[in-house]
Amino acid sequence: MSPETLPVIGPIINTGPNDRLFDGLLFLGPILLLLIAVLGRRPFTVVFAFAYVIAFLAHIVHNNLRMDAAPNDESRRPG
Amino acid sequence: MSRAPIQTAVSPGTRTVARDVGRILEALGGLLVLSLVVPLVFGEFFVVPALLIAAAVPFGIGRALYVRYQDASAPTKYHGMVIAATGWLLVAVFGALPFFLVAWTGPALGAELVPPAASTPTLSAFRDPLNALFESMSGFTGTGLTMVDDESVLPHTLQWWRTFTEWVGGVGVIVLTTAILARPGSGSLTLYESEARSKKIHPSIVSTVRTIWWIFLIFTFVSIAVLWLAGMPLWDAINHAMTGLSTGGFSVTDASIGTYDSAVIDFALVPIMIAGSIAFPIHFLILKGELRNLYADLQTRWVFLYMGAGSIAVTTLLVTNGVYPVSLEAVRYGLFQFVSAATCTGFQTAVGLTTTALGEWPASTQLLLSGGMVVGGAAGSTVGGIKIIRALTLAKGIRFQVADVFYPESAVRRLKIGERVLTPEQGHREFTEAAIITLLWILFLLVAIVVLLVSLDGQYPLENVVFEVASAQGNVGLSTGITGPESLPSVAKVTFLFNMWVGRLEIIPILVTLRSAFNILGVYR
Repeated sequence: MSPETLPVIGPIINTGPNDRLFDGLLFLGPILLLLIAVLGRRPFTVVFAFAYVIAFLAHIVHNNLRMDAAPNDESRRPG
Repeated sequence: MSRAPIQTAVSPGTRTVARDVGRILEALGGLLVLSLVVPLVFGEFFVVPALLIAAAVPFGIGRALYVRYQDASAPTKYHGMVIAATGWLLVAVFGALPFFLVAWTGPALGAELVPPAASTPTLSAFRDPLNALFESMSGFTGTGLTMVDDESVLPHTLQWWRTFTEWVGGVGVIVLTTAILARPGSGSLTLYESEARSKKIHPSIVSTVRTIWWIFLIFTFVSIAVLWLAGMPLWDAINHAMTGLSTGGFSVTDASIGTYDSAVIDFALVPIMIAGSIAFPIHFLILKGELRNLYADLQTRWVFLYMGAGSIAVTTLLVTNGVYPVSLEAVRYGLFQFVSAATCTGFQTAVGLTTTALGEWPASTQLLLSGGMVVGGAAGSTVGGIKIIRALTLAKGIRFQVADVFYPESAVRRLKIGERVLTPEQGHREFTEAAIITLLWILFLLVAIVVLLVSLDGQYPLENVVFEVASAQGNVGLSTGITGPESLPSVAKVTFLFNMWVGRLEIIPILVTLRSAFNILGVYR
């Protein structure tokens, strides 16, 4: 069974830029909030939140570098 | 009496509008049911009955409309405009119920159930239905002007509902500008066709809406993490991330962001507000790796140029007028307040509690901020104002018209906006539309200024009044202190309700709706 066929997860994965890391961050978001709510401001939650933000920003840069490396990629075409 | 004569009395267009508005009201009921999690988490059980009634009323009416007219024809763009205008108005009306009902039923449930917060003058202001409607309209239009004296004493449930209205309204306006108002000449669809080289995010409205939600959700989680890391408590971070990204500006604290008096939090909020003011189709392309759109896309490029130039100008005025010495403090307040104004967010750091209040800033600074509020950010984002693309179309169009005098009649000239070279017809149509909307915008602004000046009877200087009206119509929410349950006269509250509605819908859909309503009533032929 692939994640795309699951009831709640499937439609979310099939939406957006179809990027597994961003999808993962989307699902990790509520878990991060829950952990902060339960554990409060601790080294673990601070590192988790920091890593979350860095992963998001770094992946945008990574996608950009990958796109630059493949200038004739189909996804750059209009429409 | 049989049902047939009644059904034939309703035109096909009205049936379509009624069906889709019904779906919107059903969704509103669903959002209120979802919000029941908050009182359960915080133990605010005294608000549960009010919330249930507030959910049942729009859901019931919406369901009835949908069931009755479910076989109506598919909506056209004309219907889309009427649905948007009517839907926004009705959502604001029914969205006021939680404020109104909690204010009345909360204290009546008995002292043992009700914390002191439920009996404050802040909450009792919502016993006046006009105040409750004002708060709801301000929320759903992403304005942020408030009838709340002290947000921190509100029950968590109402703090959440205020935030949620802005967040949902933010998504609503992106859908409106990228799907419904994205007609040729509006400067939104055409912009993405050539600038972002993508007709829409996705070919259908449904998948466009889903993708906007997806982007909005992930941005919200990242924003919450950023604000929490910057030092905000989690609850505050959740609320301010949602209202910052949706450029709404409601706060859960009494003195907005000024409460924290933290430069780190101020600077952390700046990119969140700017993210809300960039067109979401551009965010989509950036997430896919096309980072070059930050400078290659006309509107996005201008968002940064205009925010940068405006912040420098405000900071300079603050220093030259002696509000602050040349310091990081001047940059901090100048940058934050201009970005907050121009992105139409309305967060305030210049509050009397910690520094010179915004209402006491020099008139020149207030008017510069008012200009920022009138222009706003990019079409296709959550901001208000006339939008950067229209301002650019107007500026370039005027220059084109003036320069025309110096060319021979036989010369073939084309209006160029960014990378787009328009045909004479396209150029004329887009320039005319931008001019009409700007003219109407200014007209409504002037009417509200006159109403406010008359109703306030000279209590506030002109620059404060202009600022407050620009804030309401630009869906900003910054205040010089005029807006409040006691300080704002009822006639001005009603005027502001209209300004906020007009500002959010970009005028034309409301005029179309009013004309349709007059047509149906036989007032206008």
